[in-house]
Amino acid sequence: MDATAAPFSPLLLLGLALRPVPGVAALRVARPLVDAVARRLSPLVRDRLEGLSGTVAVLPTDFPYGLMVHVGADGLRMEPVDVLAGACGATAILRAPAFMLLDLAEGQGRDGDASFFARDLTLEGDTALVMALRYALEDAADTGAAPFTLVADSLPLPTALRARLASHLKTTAHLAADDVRKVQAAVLDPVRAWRARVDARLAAMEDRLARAERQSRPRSSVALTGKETHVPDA
Amino acid sequence: MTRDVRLTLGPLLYNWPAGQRLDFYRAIAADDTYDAVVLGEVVCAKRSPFVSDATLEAAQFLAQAGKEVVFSTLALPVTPRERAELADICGMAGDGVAVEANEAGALYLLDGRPHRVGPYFNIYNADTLRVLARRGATSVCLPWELEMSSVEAITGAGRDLGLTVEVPVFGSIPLAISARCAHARAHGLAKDGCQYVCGQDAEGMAVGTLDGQTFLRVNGTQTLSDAVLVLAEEIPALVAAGVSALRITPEGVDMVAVGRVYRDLLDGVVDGAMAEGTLRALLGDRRAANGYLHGAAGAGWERVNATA
Amino acid sequence: MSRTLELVCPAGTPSALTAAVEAGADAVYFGFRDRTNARNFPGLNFSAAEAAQAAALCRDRGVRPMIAINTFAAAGQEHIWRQAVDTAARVGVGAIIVADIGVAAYAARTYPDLRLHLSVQAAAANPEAVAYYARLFNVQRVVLPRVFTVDDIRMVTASQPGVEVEVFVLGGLCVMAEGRCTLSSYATGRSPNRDGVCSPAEDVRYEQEGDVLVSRLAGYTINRFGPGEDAGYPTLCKGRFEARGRASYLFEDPVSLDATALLPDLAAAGVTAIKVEGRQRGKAYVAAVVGNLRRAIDSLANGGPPGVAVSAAGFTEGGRTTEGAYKRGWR
Repeated sequence: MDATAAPFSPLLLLGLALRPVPGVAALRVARPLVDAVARRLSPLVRDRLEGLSGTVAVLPTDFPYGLMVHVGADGLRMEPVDVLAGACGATAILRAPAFMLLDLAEGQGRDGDASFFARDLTLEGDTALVMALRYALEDAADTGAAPFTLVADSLPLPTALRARLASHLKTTAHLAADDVRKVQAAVLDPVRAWRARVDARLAAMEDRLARAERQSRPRSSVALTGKETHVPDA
Repeated sequence: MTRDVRLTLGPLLYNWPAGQRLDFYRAIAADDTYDAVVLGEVVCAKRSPFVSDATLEAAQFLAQAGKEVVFSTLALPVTPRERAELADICGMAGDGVAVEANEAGALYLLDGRPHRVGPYFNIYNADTLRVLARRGATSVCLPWELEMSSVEAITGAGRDLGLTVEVPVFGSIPLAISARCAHARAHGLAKDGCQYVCGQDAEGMAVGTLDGQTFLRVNGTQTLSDAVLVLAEEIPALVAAGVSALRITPEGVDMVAVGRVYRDLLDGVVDGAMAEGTLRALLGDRRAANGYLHGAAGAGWERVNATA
Repeated sequence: MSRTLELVCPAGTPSALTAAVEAGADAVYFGFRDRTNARNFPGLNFSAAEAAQAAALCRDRGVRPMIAINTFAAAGQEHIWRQAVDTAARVGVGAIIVADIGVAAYAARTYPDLRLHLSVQAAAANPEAVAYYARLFNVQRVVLPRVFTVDDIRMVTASQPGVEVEVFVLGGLCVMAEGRCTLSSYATGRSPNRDGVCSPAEDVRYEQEGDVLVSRLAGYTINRFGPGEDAGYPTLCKGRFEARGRASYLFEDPVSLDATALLPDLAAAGVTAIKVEGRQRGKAYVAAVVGNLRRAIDSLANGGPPGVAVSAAGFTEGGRTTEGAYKRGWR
């Protein structure tokens, strides 16, 4: 089936389909795969992460499961985690749409700083650890430790199939990302337009009220709203 | 301790009017606390035309009162006018006129002649000091950011070279200087057309965080600490390391009284704790800080061990 | 004007360096994994082995590798900086970029054939200062502070023809004179001068307070961002502060420098090389901005317009850019 013609992406559908599956079961299935990926990744990032320790919770905003990434003297460990149970014991929390996280792990697309500036990605807690992890992953990706390669390599498959699987996963993921963006735009644009109209009507009403108040009251101090005004600089 | 350690009054950083400056320096001249006084505009060349006459007049009566007079120079001379002012002052060096360089342009103009180096120039190690000494530096004032081990190492090298090493011990800490004027910017103006708004704040304009925490001060193009550097209990260690002068930066408090505290401390009339108490009282509600010398955040206050 | 501007690009990791070279850099600069350089972030920079590989790669591709040893050597630990100079010389770089006078003196006497570039951290802010370093250490190139206007640049190139001039055109903008700013160490105890970090990540905390993102440095609130408002790193000088009863970006807005449109003026002013700031940025940033500037420079060399660094807009703090001090009104 042509993925671009489908109204919803495989990942979205996967996420929805996983909902009735008890979290415990889903996590149990994912754990060995995540372990295997971490074991492959650990020696590649060890050098850059030397001396650092902590736990980064990587939580997609649009998928029910994320990762806890533990950095420490014994190397890198990862475990899958339910996003809602989330960030217990994390020294840093990174939240972003799933595909943005994948892009960042591959060093593709916008870099982490830009996504952070644009508020597409939120980061709380130990910034230094997350930055170091990002530098380490970026360098590791060059040596063949890109996310889908790692996943494919961690499955018990013949070598020849792994490369094809990795490439297929990557293509599907990127097509799926496009789909998600299209769906979001189709669903959200009318909502945004409606919201903008409502905001404009509200602002106009507030204006009229303020004017009426000024005309009816004697000249005394008018209560200011609590909103902080950002004064544009010269 | 000993009279061999001199007290230097550093250059006035704020944009005080000429009359106020003359009154201030007359009080300094009438008292024998300070051995040397540094004059001159370090922050912004736009101020110079209004105060240069007063500065020269003060230089004369301070010299007559037996003080050593040193002319300091701009920390950030960039424009042709600023470079011309710099060249004028550096041209005066020699024949009993001492000039202090605060950046490499002044060092170039003074190269090969006896000169001083001020605390705006980065002397972070003994190798740097040796180079400066070879080019004619006779006295240096170390930067505010140095911790004690660095001060000791550089001072030791200074003694070997026969250089005077001076350390800032009191006053607001200059943290940064810029080509942009944040003082003017806060008034909705720019450096061109600034209307000399820096003159409205006799001790700089207070800057706080969004939570209302006091943090910095802005003085024209310069950013200062809000906390005031106060070294007192640390003075014996500095003297033991061979520091031969203490630099005190003028604030809007009784600077003669401040100088007397340091003189009393050096003469053993008071101890470090008493000196600190008196200085804090003189500062009123300004916060004191001493973090840099202890290798900590500059805004912090570190207790000195009793055995120091 | 047929002389092409040299494109100097940052590399925080070997993968970023490869990206820069592939995107068309003429020179790349990087640092070692210690406080000898002014981007001393955890997990960033090159080991001696990586530096050797990088230098070899650059030489193969006709790109000039340069190593930044641009912090001020701490008294009693000068050997750390000397070792950095020794390693740089050993791996065969095209130049080292220095700021400390002691380090420059060591390099000049020990490796007289090693090209010395003067870092922006040396704060050589006028032609006389440039002349000083040229006279003492025979520096071949100076990176000018970001406080300069195009006219100021022309004064330097005109009066110091023996020293090449390199200027920043893209990336984070220092609003204070570089190399002499202790705002960071006042708040955190760590400074760009001694430790190679400004507003160190270890002291940064972001916290969501409802819809508002608060950024703090060493406990000082540096900014608050409303929902949807573009955020920035809590560099002290880019923070929002209160003065005279109102809150504002007192020192500088959280914008990035983008002087791409000024390339023709910079070239006409005698600039030899243009520099991109951003060793701490990812390889995606490097690839995009370097590629863009490569096209802009090539276009300029062929007599066309430089264009605007359109793709940079997606990478900047606050989503906005400024031409900084190059335009006089900035002051």
